[in-house]
Amino acid sequence: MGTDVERKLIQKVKKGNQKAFKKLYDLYSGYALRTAFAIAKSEADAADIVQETFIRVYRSIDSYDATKPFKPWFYRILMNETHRLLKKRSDPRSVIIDVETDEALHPASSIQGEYEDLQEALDQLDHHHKTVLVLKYLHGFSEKEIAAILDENQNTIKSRLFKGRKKLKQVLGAIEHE
Amino acid sequence: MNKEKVSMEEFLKKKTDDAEELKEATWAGIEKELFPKPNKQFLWVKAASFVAAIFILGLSLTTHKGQALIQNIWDLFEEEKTVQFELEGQREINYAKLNANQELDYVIYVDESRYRLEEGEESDRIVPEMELGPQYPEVSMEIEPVTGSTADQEVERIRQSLTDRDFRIIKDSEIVKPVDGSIVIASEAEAGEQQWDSVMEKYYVTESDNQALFVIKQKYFLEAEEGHGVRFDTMLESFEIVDE
Repeated sequence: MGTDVERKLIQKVKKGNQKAFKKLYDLYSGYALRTAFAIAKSEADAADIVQETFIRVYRSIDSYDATKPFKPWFYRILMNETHRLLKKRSDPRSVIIDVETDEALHPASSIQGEYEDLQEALDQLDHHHKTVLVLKYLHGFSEKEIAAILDENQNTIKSRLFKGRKKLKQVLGAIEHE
Repeated sequence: MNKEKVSMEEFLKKKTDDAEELKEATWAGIEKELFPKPNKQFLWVKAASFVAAIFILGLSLTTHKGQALIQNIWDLFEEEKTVQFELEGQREINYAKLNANQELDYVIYVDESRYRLEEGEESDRIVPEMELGPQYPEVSMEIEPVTGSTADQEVERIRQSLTDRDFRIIKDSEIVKPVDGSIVIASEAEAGEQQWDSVMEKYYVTESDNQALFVIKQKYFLEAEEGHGVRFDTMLESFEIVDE
């Protein structure tokens, strides 16, 4: 989405325009739902997270500094809502896919062998590493952007990505040698 | 690392495809929370007590068209919102109320603790609630819909008018805030000769995506630039053309 179009849209949302807010929702909700689902592993939770995120966005849009990019600001709210919901559930679910649940919903035919290994590798990562990988690979955020979204030092993000990728690489390397 | 990257991206996208299908249901929840639809009877009560009843006067309340337009406005905009003013480094928070002109083709939130909107035949004016003394030049913000002209023509007309009246143009450029369009600022005084009460005029020319054109003219004096000038601009940030 062009920044100029986005800027105008957000300007309208700031003025309380509901139609503009719906357009913003249409633009951002798809990947927001994917991200929330990847982390929360539940469609119902993903919907709750994204709903709360957009409500928060609408109510606090006046505090958004329009001179800065919108996407990192939005994803910071999304990640806060994600962590808040998971904490509330006291269920430190790690990331991505619950294998048993997923296979029940989507029979094995939809999961390729390579993905199964990737999934296994991801399941070995803790919450922090998985979150960083989702932001990196699902969205293509830079380390700097991820640091801003998660309110962490860039070196911390770099380290988490390194460790996460290292484990993934080991699995992928093993696949290549099979 | 490329293979890893490609695999990860493909994996995450494939595994989250179903989540996209939650969009409509999620929006329904958001809409219910943020924009609950009041029933018709409640709408009429709200409308009757609403300060911006001015726009109702221009409508036949008994027509379907009139009701549809009111419904549309209420659906689009909140009745009241918080507006934060930044005046000479000091923050001030006030409640501003939704106002609209008779034809319902624009809305603006007015800080009614300090200003009021006066409705005119061809334009509306926002003026201080408390009248200024006779020693002060006029302070106002006029909102005028313009037809039969283009934004460029309007800017040129404003420039010509200022030149004809010996105003000195201080700023003439494109802007995005408080509205998207053009700005022209002028002073009646020559550079270096300005007094506290030198008259200032500030114009904004803005148009909607559907080419509905508006000229907004602010009048104040030099000493009021950081006060009324800033307050007008802050209110103007909420200005929106409703022509959809």
